[in-house]
Amino acid sequence: MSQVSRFFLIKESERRLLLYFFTLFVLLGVGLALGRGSADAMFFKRYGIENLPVIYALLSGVLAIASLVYASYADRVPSEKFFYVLFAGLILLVTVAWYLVNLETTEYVFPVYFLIFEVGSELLPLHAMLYIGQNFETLQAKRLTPIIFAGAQVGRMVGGALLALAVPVVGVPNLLLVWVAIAIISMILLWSHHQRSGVSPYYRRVRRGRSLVKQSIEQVMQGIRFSRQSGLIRASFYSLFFLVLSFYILSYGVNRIYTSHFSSEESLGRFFGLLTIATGTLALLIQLFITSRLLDRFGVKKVNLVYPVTSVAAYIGLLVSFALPAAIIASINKDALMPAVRNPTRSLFFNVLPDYMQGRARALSLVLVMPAALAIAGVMLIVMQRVAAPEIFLSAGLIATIFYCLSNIKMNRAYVAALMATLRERVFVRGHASSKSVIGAREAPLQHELVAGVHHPNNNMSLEYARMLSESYPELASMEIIKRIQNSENTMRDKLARLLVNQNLPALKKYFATLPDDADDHLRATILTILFNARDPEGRRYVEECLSSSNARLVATGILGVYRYNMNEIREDVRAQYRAMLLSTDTAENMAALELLRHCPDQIYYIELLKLLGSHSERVQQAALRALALWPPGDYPGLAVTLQALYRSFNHQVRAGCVDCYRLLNDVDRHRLTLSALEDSHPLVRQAALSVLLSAGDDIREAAIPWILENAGTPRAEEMLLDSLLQTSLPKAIFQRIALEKARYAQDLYYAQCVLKNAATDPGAPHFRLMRIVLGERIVQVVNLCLTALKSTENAEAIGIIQAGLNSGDSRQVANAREALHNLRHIQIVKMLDDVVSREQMSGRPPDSGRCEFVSLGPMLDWCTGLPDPWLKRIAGNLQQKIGLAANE
Amino acid sequence: MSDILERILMLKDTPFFSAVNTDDLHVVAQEIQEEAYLSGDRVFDIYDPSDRVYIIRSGKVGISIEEDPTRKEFITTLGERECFGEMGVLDDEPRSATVHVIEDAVLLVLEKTKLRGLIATYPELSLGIMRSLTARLREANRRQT
Repeated sequence: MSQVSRFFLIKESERRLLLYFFTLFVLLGVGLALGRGSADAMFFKRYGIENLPVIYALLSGVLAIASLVYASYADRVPSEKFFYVLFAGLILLVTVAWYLVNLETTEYVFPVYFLIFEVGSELLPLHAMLYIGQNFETLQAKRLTPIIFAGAQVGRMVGGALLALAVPVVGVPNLLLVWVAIAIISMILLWSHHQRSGVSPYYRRVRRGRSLVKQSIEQVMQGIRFSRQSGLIRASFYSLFFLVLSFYILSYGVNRIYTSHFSSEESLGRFFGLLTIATGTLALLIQLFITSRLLDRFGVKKVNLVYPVTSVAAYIGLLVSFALPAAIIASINKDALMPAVRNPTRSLFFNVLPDYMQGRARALSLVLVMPAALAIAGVMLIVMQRVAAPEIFLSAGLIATIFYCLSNIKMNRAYVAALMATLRERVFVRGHASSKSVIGAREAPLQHELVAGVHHPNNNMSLEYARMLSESYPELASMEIIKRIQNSENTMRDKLARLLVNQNLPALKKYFATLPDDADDHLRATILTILFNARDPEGRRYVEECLSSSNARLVATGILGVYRYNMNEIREDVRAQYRAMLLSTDTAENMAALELLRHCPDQIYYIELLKLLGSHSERVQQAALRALALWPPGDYPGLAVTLQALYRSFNHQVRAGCVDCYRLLNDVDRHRLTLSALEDSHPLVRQAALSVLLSAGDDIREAAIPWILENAGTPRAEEMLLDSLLQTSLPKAIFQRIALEKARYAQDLYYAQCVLKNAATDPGAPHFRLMRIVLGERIVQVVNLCLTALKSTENAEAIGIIQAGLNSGDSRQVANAREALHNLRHIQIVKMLDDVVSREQMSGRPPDSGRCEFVSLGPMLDWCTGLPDPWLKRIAGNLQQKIGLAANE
Repeated sequence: MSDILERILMLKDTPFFSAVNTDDLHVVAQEIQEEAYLSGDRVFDIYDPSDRVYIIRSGKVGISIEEDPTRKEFITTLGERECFGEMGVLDDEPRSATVHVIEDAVLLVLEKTKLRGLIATYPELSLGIMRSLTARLREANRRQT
């Protein structure tokens, strides 16, 4: 059983559901085969094949109305509920048709029954596809749909056999009752399944609308709108249009041959039965053994071209010889290849559309596209059958088929775009809109909103808006911020004033002049700092006043003034005062002096600064680090040791501050410490390390590449570094090498997981389980890394969407992401990744290709413990130890 | 070490921490305390402050939303590797239920302050927790529809 499952790519958990679907489709197939045979035989022999084109034209109208009703409800109720309605309607209509046929009072019952069958045979499979869509995710559907459709083929074969055997015994008309019985059984099966399993899992309730007519029109309009939005829907409509033309002209042609070849209704009925068995068997074999593998091997886009090409061949065959053998070949094409290859493929194309589009797009194709094509086919045949030579209508059919082929090529192009759009929508990946781009819009309403925000009563909100305003409209910002300052308390005034640095000095000076004597010292210090830094002549008179202040911040501002205005006469005194503040035991003085050190990075205070780095206060440590970070590179003895010691701080801001200062160290220390900081637990620290690394120049950047290539860091750190390297001008070949290396590493990890799985005597044992989980986590992270590296050469947004899809945890989105993965250009890497991703979900088989030398648990654990990844190494080491202990015991 | 690894696995099995990577869970496992409760004990009462999150290592507890904390009418029972009290430590709301010990239980306990400290130090932890909570929300939505 497991071998069969593996052969058909069926997971254990899917078996029961698959059996149900298979059975349901068998029943559908039997019913449709009986319907087809009986409708055709009675119509052709009792009503006349010459009326078929008229019926096509009529069918287009009937189909449009039936489809309109279908479109109104298709995705408003769970698909199983709509199935009940379809089956009930079918049972009623076919029973009435049977009654009228037996009464033999009117010959019009034959075209009516033919129409009933045609509508039923369109709606039932169409709805069945929607039903599959609501019960399986994309990749699941890709694997299982061919098998489910194979059920329909089995059904057709059984139906064909019934037809061939039963026609001589019960006659064609009584087959209608058999079809009714099968429809009743299908309904019971459907009901019992959903009693057990509830509503279809991927059904999403759609908002209820108003009246039926309005709803229907709305549905059609929505379908049209969707066709404008989605290139895939548009292309699929063209494809369907030409397919219908091609199909019905072909059907008319072959049925003309059959009707003239078989003299009686019974012989024609029997032939239809035998033909159904033959085409059904062929379709089944193709579906079971070829379609899945074709899809897997060549992908959905190439398989989408198979049926159009064989249809062209069938037309050419009929044009060469309009006789029974060519008709049988054409029948095989339309009745075997179409259900076995074309239908599953089309279903896959629709599955990539969002749920709300699928139902409407399918319905619209029935309401508008199919009827329109059918009407045109009918009219064309009515006109063309007046000319006896079949070459005329066959040529028209051939042209339609060529257009069908071209439409499918167009559909293939639209498929990838639709897949990405749907995935983006489902995993909520928004395009990156930076504040700059938003603010840069320079629209009056935006300005008004920002200004209103500055005057928001909440200080935090106000500050944030003030920051945004000053970044985008500096002139306007200074005016508004000063207004806001006047209505704020001291702390807030200080914060707002800091935003005014280098902005609108006259306004600021005017405001400063209006400050009362008892105004907050911090605010005064902030404004004076701005004036002093601008070397404003009017500012100079405040310097001495500041130096004599009792407020440490004002004193520090005064010292800044001495530096800025080059007041050399008092510079030495001021230096002593400055040094005293740095060495003070008063934290406020330390902080004020350190703030000053940021504005005047004077290296004569290095020793004092080094002392402050060892302060017990984290605030002082941070301020000292902030000041130090602005110093120019140079020789700072003992700094590396001090920073290394300080880096042990629990406070991530202190650690980030240390990392900011690494750029002052020599190359060796800087490289070593920065790479190690990339592994920090806090992203801010890692970000700081990254900035140091990227600002260090090409040598260091290039030194970081081997670090990534050799998997020397944790995936998290590597991801961050890689993301930033992508913003640099490094050659694309480097990133491709990284991607390839990561894909291989992911395969190795996956291989390790397989070895673990196969070797574990007790897979539930904690050490084994944890090792498996850790390997699984690493596989996901390394796959992500690989995709990140591919951003350099592929569409970065598409990669982001694929990553989001793979990481979504939602099997449908994972499936779509995998499908999207196949459309990337790096075929080798994609194949390796897909192997890992798909097999991780499937059976635990090792990858086909790989470079791993380990074949058993021991060497695999040796390999893991030899990796630089500390966590994986540790978990592997523990497992090794545990196994060793167990062996000793 | 063995105990820590088991704790990591236990945390990984709880819905609250299931989406957190094991290397991040390692730091959580180190902060966890173990407490034993006897059948009949109450772990906490409704409207108590939400100060800890609990994971059941062994035993069984019952959840009651009765105003009277002594009444044992359970809306649900929880067993091994299940988690409770996690919402309160995130939203600071008082306990919305009383937890009665039905069978002698060993609980792994994580203090709210410790959890928050860990989140501040290891921000990726909160991403994992968010992922877990979102997964639960999605599942709840799915069930509802």
